[in-house]
Amino acid sequence: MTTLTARLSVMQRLRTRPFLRGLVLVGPAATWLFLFLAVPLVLVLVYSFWTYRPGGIMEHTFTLENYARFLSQPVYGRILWRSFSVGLQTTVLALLLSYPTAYYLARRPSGSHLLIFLILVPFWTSYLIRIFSWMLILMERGVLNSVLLGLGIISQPVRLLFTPLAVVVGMTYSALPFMILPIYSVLKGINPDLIQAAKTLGANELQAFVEVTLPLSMPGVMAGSVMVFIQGAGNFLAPAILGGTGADLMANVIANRFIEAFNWPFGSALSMVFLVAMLVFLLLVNKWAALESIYGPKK
Amino acid sequence: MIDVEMRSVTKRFGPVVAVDEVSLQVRQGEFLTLLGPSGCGKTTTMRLVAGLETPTSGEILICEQCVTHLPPYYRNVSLMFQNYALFPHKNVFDNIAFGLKYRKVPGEERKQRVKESLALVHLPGMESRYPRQLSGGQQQRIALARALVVRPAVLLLDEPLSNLDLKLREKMRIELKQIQEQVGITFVFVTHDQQEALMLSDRIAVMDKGKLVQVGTPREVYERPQSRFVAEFVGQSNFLEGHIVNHCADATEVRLSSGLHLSIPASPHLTTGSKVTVQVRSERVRLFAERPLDCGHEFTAIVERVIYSGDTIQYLLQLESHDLLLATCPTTSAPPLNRGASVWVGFDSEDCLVLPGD
Repeated sequence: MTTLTARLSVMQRLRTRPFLRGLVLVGPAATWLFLFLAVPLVLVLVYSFWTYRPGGIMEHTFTLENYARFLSQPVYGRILWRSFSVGLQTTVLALLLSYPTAYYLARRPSGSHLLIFLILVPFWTSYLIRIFSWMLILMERGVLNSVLLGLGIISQPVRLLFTPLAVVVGMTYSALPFMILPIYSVLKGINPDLIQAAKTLGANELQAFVEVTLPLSMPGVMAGSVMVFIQGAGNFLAPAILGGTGADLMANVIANRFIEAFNWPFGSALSMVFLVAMLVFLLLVNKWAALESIYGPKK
Repeated sequence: MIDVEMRSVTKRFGPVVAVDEVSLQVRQGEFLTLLGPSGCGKTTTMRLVAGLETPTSGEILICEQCVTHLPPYYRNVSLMFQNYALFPHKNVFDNIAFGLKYRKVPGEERKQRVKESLALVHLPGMESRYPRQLSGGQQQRIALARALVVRPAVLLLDEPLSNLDLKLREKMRIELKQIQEQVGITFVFVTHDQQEALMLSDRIAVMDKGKLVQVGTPREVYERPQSRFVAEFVGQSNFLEGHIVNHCADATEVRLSSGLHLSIPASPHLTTGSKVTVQVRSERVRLFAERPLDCGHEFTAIVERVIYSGDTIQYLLQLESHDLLLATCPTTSAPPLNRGASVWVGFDSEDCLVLPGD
């Protein structure tokens, strides 16, 4: 009895003190993020201004040399551009494949739990294995070439593996659930009366879709796109395994500077450039899309 | 001229028959109400007229043209949804102008007509607001403006008042009727609220289990229900069960199962011995302190229960024969009675309506 009242009083104390309550609820996760995200990030920022000495030694003297190197050697700019480009290609391809699927799932009158479950099944295997299996499909004597040869569509095996296209294809595949699910859940939440209202007012199926369904589904499209773009542009495994030498993205180059060249300061500078470029890009996209105002100004 | 005609329309959803052989004509400029309990098929009937559902069998005509298989966007019909269905991402102007855009009304005229329709629903100057900035009542007026601005042959309204609180609903009822008279468009109004139906309609079509059970003016439906269902659904009544025992020249005699005898207006079409239900509206049952002289029937009774509801007061009364009678009296008519009080109850023979027994 006494322990029960004691417990209750702790809960009640939390209820009446919002700051303490917030601390208890958010504190553990915040600590985790601080230790393993904020602290390393600050370290990387600091490293990027330190001097590199051959042999992998970091000298604690301030320099802008690492950033100057990024600007003076056009290859890094090209790789940054390629990361964005591959990320965008993946996003667009995944979007084109996902929207109709999500639309179908959301409109299915008999429910779609089983189908959604099937979409999630690939997540039971590791990402590495799924990327490797794409190797088997895209290889010179792989599944795809064999089928195309067998059907007589091609006479010579086509080089698919170790191309930028292979990277986009592999990343698109693993991006689909991240695109389908947010679009599905937003489409599912659109009041079907709105579409019917558009039709009774004279809009045909396509016009009703363009006027009502599409704009109202944009929050889902944006959420999915941002997730897929970040995963794509920052991807390490897919370019490393499917891409070959000419398809390296920023993550591969950064890893290379750290692990192989032991040039931590330059690797850190590349990380910071990439991070800032991504943030600026996503902020611009967010501002352009202006999703918070599709329902007009707040009351 | 007939604006909407349904010819034995049936709609099945799998094994469920939502609308069963409904035939109905709605005249031009008429305010017709589809009345019935939830699940009776009234909303499906309306959706069939709008083109949002296709009938399993039967034909639908709008302005004397067959539209049975036309999609909604080729029918000159507007629909006002129960939840208003305003486009949340469009402001009031774009919401109202939506139908005009697809009817290819030029820009200047579009502005003019939106302005006029906003004046019609008493919300001038609201063009740039968004739905979420509007109250429920305002949203409803905008939905009405959006449906009317395209000047449809028929406006369908799906329980448009049911999401409003009582005071606003009463106000909107009057306004809706005024607007309908002003624009002269045919209204097909769906509701489960008999009060609303009686107040607004030129004619009421009562539905039950997918079937049309009675069509008539409010007065006909209220005063001459053709079935126990209609009598029970509209207004408050007493239903006394019995069978016909005797026919006279100007009256028919009914013996109730409790043993009580009632004399009712002559109903020669009913054979002696057939089972009947006698309906007596609760407001027709009158209470007296002493034995009344001018009633066709009078009984002594004990007050079982008293329900006070402002303008009226209801008494549940037990007769000596153990029949229960409900009486609704104006609160002002007499000093209130208490539970257990003895009282005389009376009603006229003309107030007894015979319904065929179940």
